[in-house]
Amino acid sequence: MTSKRCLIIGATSDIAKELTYLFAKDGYTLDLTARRVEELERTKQDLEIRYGADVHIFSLDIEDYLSIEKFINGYNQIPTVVVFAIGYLGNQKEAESNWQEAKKIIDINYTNQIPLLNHFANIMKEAKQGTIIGISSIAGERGRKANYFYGSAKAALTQHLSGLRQRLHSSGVSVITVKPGFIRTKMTKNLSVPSLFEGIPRKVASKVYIGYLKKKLVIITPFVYFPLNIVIKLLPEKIFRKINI
Amino acid sequence: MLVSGWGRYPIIISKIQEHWSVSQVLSIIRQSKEIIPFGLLRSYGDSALNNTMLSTLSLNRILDFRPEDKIITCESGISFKDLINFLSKYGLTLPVTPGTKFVTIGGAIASDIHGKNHHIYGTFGSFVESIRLILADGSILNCSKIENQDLFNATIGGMGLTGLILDATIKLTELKSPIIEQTSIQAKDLKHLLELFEQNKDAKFTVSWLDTNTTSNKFGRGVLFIGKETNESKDLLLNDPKINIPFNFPSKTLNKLTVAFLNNIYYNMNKSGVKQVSFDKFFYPLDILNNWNRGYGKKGFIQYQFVVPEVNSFNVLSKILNKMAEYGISSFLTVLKLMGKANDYLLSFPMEGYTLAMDIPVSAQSLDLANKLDEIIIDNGGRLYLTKDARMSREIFKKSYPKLEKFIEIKAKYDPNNKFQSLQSKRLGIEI
Repeated sequence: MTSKRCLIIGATSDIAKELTYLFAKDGYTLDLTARRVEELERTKQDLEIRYGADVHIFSLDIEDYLSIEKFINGYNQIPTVVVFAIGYLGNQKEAESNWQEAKKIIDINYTNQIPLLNHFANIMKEAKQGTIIGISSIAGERGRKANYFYGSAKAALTQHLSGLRQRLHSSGVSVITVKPGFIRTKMTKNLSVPSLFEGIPRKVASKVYIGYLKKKLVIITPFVYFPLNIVIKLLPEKIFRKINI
Repeated sequence: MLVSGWGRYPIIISKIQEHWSVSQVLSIIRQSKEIIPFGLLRSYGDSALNNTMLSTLSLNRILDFRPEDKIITCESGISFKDLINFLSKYGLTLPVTPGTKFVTIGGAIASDIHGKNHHIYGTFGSFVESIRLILADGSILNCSKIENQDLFNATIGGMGLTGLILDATIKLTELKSPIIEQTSIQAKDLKHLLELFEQNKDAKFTVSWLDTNTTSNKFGRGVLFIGKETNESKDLLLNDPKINIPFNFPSKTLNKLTVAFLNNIYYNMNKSGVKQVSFDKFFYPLDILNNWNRGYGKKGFIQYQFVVPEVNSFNVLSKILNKMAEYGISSFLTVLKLMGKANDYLLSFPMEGYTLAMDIPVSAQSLDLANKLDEIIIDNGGRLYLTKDARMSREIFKKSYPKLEKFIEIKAKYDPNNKFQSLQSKRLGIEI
């Protein structure tokens, strides 16, 4: 690898967009993927004008396996860092009775990320370097009635990343799991969230970036979620089933 | 979500729509029955408020920049602070800036803002080359002085009522230096202050502060500030606020006595003289205080800004100050400025004459006073600034904006179902 290269999968999400700017500022070459490439074209313009960044755009529809395969076959790079910034909160109520919606939530948040995770894990392992950053969710810590389809898929992703971290440790490849709390992103925009608990995508992105530089393994953000997370994890089911969160 | 303009009056519950891509913006607009775009919410009253509001803040990208031609194309949600900091690296800047850097390009166009150089440069809108506007049906239309000119003239100063500005191409000017030589001249009374403006018509930046508390021989005293670019070379970096006002002051904090006291201090602090100040300090003195609007307490305040033609302006301004004295109401942050010529944009505020902006805490009495002041202003051919307004009546508005009918005609053509509406546009009857 001659220069630093960052691949962001799902680059139109707002945390990802903010991360893009942090990597660009730091001189990384950027490979960005999204289903809507025209949106990335605008971001590319901005990154080039502001930072003189070298930006490449790839079309990738995470819902479509053929699109994933095509991307993997056409992408001949070993990035310094790859960020998985894909998420779909979906409609919990609908998923409770509609398998299509349930499957979509599970696929986007977990299943369809696996071919990509496998690919980059394998090539980085061989190259004996690299970092994989997976953006999971605090919702994956415990199933809640409000979003347990999303939460269980994110839980699977979190466990997957944990296993991958163990596997790649001896090869010098880092795996970072990010667990954002409720942030005002497109996924949570229709929920009302107490304001103290609201993070802002830019702050989350900068925590992720700092975590990356410091080689953290797990990043929980905003920080207020850290103690809350412990409490939620430790509550016995007998009590947890009765509370309304 | 609870939301308000900068004056914190009115405060409403609104559904805030956010988005992360242009395609989402288009679909939100298509699906909405009624909506108003908003940016950093620095307009004072209800012009950016409605029960559904669409944020432009994630549209903050620069799309094209040609420094040699002094031209930039950027999305509408980018802030002046962001853009001015970026441009300074190329020795360029925005030709017109308001009194805060926390406004967006889209807001500046929709308000057709003016600055301390209005008497020479005109409004921000006169530097807009073209706009790409998202219309009510979700289509995107290019407008400029050549293309769809009717829509262009309605959109600049159009308060977001013609559509959402996706991006705009803006002519830039050279940033001579981030250091401004500021000359302060104390004016012993109103007459003297107006004379000083006349004498300094050629100065690039002029603005004055005026004491609304004084009576008799010091009536309308003030300080004229003249800004001149220096040749000092230094990097320009606009900063975030340094001091935060963390809570609402009690509503009575700024009362007649404290304001008189503060005004007196302010007058005496600003002795005549020359000094060098930073770009940030000269253009954005209040930006150093985060949430300074909390100083007026939870009832909020109105910023009453009007313009009256230059002829007879001394008498009109005197009448206004006398009326305020009669009500026992005064203003601390009072700004007087001589404006240049009006432009062709249909709802643009400025006209040749004096503009006065006063911050008045909201009360039944101050709202009554405002109605009385409206009458004086209308009778003398003046008008109120929509970006500041939260309470003007339909009648007053219609009398003072003669191009309103033309505006409504154009709005009917591009927004036939009246999708782009604000609380202000409903109050003032800016509808088809």
